[in-house]
Amino acid sequence: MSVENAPVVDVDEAAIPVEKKMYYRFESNDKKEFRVSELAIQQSETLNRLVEAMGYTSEDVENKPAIAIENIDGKTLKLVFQWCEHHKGEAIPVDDGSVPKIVEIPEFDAKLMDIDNGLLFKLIWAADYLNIVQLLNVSCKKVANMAQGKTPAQLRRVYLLPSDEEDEAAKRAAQEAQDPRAREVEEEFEERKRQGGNSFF
Amino acid sequence: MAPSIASKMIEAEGIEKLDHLIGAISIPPVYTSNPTTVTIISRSKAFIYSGEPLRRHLMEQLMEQQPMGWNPPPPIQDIFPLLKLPENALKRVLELFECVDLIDFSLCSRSCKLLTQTINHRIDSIDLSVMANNTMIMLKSGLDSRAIIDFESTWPYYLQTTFRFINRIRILVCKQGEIYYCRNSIPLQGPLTLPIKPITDYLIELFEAPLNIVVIPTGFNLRAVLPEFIKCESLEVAGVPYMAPDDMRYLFETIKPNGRFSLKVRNGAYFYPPELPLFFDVDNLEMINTAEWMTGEIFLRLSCNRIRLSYCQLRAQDLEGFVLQWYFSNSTHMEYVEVWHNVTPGLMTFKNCLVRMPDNLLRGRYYNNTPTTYIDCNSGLDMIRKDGTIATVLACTRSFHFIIWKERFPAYGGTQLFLV
Repeated sequence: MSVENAPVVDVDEAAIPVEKKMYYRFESNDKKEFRVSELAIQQSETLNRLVEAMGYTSEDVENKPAIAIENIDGKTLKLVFQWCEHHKGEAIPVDDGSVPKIVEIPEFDAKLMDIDNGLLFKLIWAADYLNIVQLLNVSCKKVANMAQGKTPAQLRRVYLLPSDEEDEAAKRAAQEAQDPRAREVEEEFEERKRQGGNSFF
Repeated sequence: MAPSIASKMIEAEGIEKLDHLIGAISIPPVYTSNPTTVTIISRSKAFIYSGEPLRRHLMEQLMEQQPMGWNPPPPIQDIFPLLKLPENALKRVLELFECVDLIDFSLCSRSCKLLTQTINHRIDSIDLSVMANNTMIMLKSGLDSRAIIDFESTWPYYLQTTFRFINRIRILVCKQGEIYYCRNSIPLQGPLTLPIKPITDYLIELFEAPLNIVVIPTGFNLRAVLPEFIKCESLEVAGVPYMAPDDMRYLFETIKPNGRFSLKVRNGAYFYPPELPLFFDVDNLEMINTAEWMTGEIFLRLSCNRIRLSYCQLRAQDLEGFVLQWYFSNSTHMEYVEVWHNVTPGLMTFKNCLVRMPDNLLRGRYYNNTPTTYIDCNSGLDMIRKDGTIATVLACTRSFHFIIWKERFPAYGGTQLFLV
């Protein structure tokens, strides 16, 4: 049968089932709105469960207010969703704890995380809160790389690690703030011990 | 406090008035999330000030106060408040540290050490090799090396060296990649010593991993080194053809590893063993090319899971006695015994126990005698103990093998060892 003789059938395009991509709307704590694809959301266990539980349809997504993420600001959330969109569909790594963890930072992630440490800090908090395993891995690896070749003194400065004396002072201050009476009792006990008393009670 | 108000405050108070704060600051005193604002944390208060001049002034002050060799504090944008991360992320960061950096992190403070001990660092073993001019420690995850602590190599001249206090001993350290070069910082009178002991102790405490020692006793006195490592998981003495009888006696009377003892050095003169060597009940005993001293009495008293002896002069009745001792006992720890003869032992009859031909329906045919070699057990004789345990005796011209089939059909691999 030639092409000219082939039966012509009118096709109603609306009747063809087209797989529509669903974009969810999220709002940061500074009221910035983001549209994120369903596939990208799967990278975040927290958001994935949330949207599953909400059971939104395409209409709901458009008509209902954006899902608010209270703990994360717009700048951080933008980075998070950029990362999720770029890595959508990728397998989520499972850490069984049995082998040395080897994490390599891909080029895209390295560029994305070319940010100041304040924002990197927020990004890690966000990745942890939203449970995005691979983003948490690469961002933590970036922080771990800061330690390379550094001496303990340099590590203390870079990571703001308190010394033993500062730890003890903070602990004492916390104890006193929590229970002033306990300190008084302790002092009284010490005083009695100095005076040679055998028992406090 | 708004930056503008802070700026006014600086003008009012004058920068010099802030100098008293500096003495109270021992960590980098400035932290900011905003490049125009400076936060100064003293023991009691936090002051937020604004302006680059103030930050520069504080940095200069701190620089002046530090002793020689002190590095300037990192720029503010390079500071990362690690301990403020959520617990999960903090542990993940530490797990991703290079092993040598993790050691340095643990040296920052007691809490850092505690934190390092709680993470899954994946260090399975600490392998110490003691040998002339190349003593080192290898930290391993499975078979992979994660870090090398080097005590004797020359490090590249351009690398920066700094001091560490490890177990209260001042040690000179230089890091490069996975290598952690260590030296005693104080030149001692007399022969040079290496800081092996304090570092090994520290690593065992930090990683809670077993210590495996390999000693190649050339160029140093074995009895001078080993007393420091009495407690270890495994000890291997190898790499030289002969050893003085005094050293042998020292090993036999003093050393008792928890898991494995391997001696691969022959004694250099006639050697009288003690009545019972201290290592008679280690899990895994290997005496390769050096077991001519083994007597029947000692052999029968060995209580190891796996035994491999070579260059032996044991007689048939000793070997048969060993098998019968197992046959009439209830012991469950024994797995494998291998004896290579220096002198042919003679014929074994096993007339006091019931032996039978091998049955491949009851047990496998091949058995891994070492991780890399396996033997064919079908030419042996089987015996079944009253508790149902099957054992096989393979008495060959040059060797004797006694296999207890803990697993009836074990997986095997490697190269087949043909027995004659």
